Amino acid sequence: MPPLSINEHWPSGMVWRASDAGHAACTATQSSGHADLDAVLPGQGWPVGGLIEVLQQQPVGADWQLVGPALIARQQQALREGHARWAGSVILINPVHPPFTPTWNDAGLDASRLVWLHPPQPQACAWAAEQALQCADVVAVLAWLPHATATVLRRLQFMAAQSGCLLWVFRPGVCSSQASPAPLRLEVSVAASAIETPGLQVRVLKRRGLPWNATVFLPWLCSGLPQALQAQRQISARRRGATQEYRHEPTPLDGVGAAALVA
Amino acid sequence: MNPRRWMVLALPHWLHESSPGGGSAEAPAQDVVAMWCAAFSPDVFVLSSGVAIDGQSVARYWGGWAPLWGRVMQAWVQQWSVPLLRGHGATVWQALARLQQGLPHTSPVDALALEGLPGVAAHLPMWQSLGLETWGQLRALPRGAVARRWGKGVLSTLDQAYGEARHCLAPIVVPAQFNAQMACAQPVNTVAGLAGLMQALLHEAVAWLYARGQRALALVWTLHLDVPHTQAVQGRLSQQVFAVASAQASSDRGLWWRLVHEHMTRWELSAPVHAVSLRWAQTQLPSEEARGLWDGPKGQSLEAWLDRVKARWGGEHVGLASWRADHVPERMQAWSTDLPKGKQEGASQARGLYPPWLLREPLRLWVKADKPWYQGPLRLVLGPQRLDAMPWSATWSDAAPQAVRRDYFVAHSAHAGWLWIYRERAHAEHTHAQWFLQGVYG
Repeated sequence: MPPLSINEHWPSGMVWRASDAGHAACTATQSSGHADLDAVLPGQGWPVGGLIEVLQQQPVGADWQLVGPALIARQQQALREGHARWAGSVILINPVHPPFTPTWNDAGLDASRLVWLHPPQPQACAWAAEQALQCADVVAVLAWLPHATATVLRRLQFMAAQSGCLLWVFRPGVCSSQASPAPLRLEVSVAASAIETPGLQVRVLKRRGLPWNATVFLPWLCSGLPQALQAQRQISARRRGATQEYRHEPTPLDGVGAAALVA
Repeated sequence: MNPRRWMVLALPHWLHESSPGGGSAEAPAQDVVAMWCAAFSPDVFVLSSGVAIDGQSVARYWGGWAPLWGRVMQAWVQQWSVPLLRGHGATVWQALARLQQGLPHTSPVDALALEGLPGVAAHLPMWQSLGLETWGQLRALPRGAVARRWGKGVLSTLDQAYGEARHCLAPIVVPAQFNAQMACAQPVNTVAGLAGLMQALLHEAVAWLYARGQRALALVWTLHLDVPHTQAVQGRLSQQVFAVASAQASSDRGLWWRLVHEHMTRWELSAPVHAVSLRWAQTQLPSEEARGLWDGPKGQSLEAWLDRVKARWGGEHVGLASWRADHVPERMQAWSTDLPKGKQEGASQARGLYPPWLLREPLRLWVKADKPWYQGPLRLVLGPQRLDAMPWSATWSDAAPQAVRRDYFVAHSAHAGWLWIYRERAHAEHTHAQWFLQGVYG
C-alpha cells in the first residue's frame, strides 16, 4: 500500500499543519491595516468568510479604529471589481450609537453604501445579520450582539463561511469565559495609558494555530485626533520652553534697563 | 408526423392519488402550470390529468424541438421545486398515453396500451376479455363493427390519437390583467390560516407574470370579510385591502412569498375571511438594467433584503444616510429609509476632529465643581472649538429657536474613553454652564 499523502486526499485549505500554524493562510484574508495586528493574525489579516468575535471592555471600544482600515480597503476593492448598483455595501446592525457618516466619508469610506439598522428588540439582530450575509452586494457586516447565544454565533459562522463577507460581532468583555464557535476571538480595550496617545490594546483569545498571549498596542489610524494631540503637546512644550527662557536668561532689554537705571 | 410535436406535463399526484407531493403547498395547481406553459407556446391545453403543449407553431422560433422542450424543463426546475413527469407524441393522446405508461417518444404507437385512450374506460373490461390490449389491435378491427358495438366516439378518439382527425380541445387564454379570487372552505379567523390559500394565489400570479414576460413592483391583497348584511348596510367594511410593494421589479416567486410572509404577520383581521383575491398593482417589462449579468446567482439583492427588514421591523428601524451642508453636527446628516435612486451628490466630508459615532440626542452631563462628569470626572484635552450657527431668517439673539452657540471640547476619562462634548454658550453667563455629550471617538 502506498504511503498516504494528505495533500492528495484533501483539498487545499481543509487541512493545516501544526508547523505552519499561525503563518499559513488557511482561508482568504483581508489585511487589517494595522501592521502589528496583521503579524499576529493567521494569514496576516482578518479572515474573510469567518466570524470575528470582538470582546470589548468598554461599551464603546474603538470599533471604528479597529476595523476601519480593512473596511475601507475591502470596499474600494469591491467598487473596483463590482458593477452592481450597490456593490461594496457595509451593514451596521445595532451599534451603540448611530454612526456620524461625514467622518466615515472623510476617512475614505463611501458612506452612501452604509446601512444602519437599529432593531426594535435586540434579539432580532441575529436574523438581520444572517440575511445580510446572503446579500450579493454586501462586503462587510458589523453586528453588536450583546445577547447572542452560542447557537446564534454558530449559525452566523456557518452563514459567513458560505459568503465572502467580513463579519465582526461585537460583544461585552464578560462573554470571554463563554465558549464560542468563532475562529478568531479578540479582546479589545482602550489602552490604559491612552491619555498621551489614543490607542487600543488587543489580546488574541483564540485563533487558528498556536496560541498568542502577548498584547498588541494599536494606534488610531482613522482619526485626526492623535495628530491634534501631538500638535497640542508640541505647542504647549514650546510655550513652556519660552516661559523658561524668559525666566532664566536675561534678555538684552534687561541690560538696557539696568544701564538706564544706573545712569 | 413528428413524434415530439406534443408534450404533456403532469405532477406525480395528478396521475396517482397515492403519489407524494399532493398536499405540498409548493406544488402548483393544474391551471397554474397551464398558465405558466403559455410562456412557451400559445397552444396550451388542460387535460383531465395533465397539461398539453403543442409545439408546432413555435418550434422554429425556439430553434427546434429539442431546444424547445429542453428550455421548458430547464425553466421548470428553476421556477418550481417539484418533480415533473412528461410524455411526447405526434398527437396529444399519444403524448398522454406515453406519459401515463412512462414510455419514451420512440416507442411504437401501435403497442400503446388501450388504458391510455381517453373516454374508453367503460369498454376496457370487455376489450380485456376479448384479448384486445393495444391501439394497433383495436385499429385492426373493422371500423363499421367497432362503431356499431362501442359507438362512434371510440372511432373518433382513435382517429384523433393517430392524427387522422383534429382534436376538439380549446387552448387556454392568458388574461391581459391578472385578478384572481379564491374562496375559503370555511370562514378563516387567523392570518396564518390564510397562508395556504394565499400561496396558491401567488403561484397563479407568478405564473401569469411568467406567461406575460413581465415583472411586478407591487401586489394588492383583498380579503373579503364575512360581515352580516345588516352590518354592511350600516357602513362596516366588508373587505380589507393590503398592498405589498418591492423596491425592484421582480417575478421571483420566492422573493414575493418571503415579502408577503413578512407583511402577513402584521395584518389584523377585523372579521372572519371568506375569500381572498389578488392582483398585481404595477407591472413592467424587464428593463435593460435588469441585474444578473455580472452578479451571478450568489445571493439576494440589497433591495430585496431591505424590503424584508422593513416589512418585519417597520421602516423607522432602517437608516440610510443623506447629507446637507450645515455646520451643526446633528443637521449634517439625515437618515432615510429608502435607497437613493440616483447617485448622491456632495457627500459631506467632515474635516477636523469629528467623532465617528454621534449620539441620537445630546446627553446633558452632570456638572460637579464646574466640571462636566460622565462616568467620572472628564478632563478637557482639546478645545474649545467655537460654533455659531444661526438661520438666515432669524435675528441674532439667543432666543432664536434654531440658533446654536456652542464650544466643543475633546474630553477624556479613564473609564469612558475619548468623548466629544460641548458647552452651551447661551447659558455661559449663567451661574452653571450646561454641558452635553454629543459624540464618542472609537
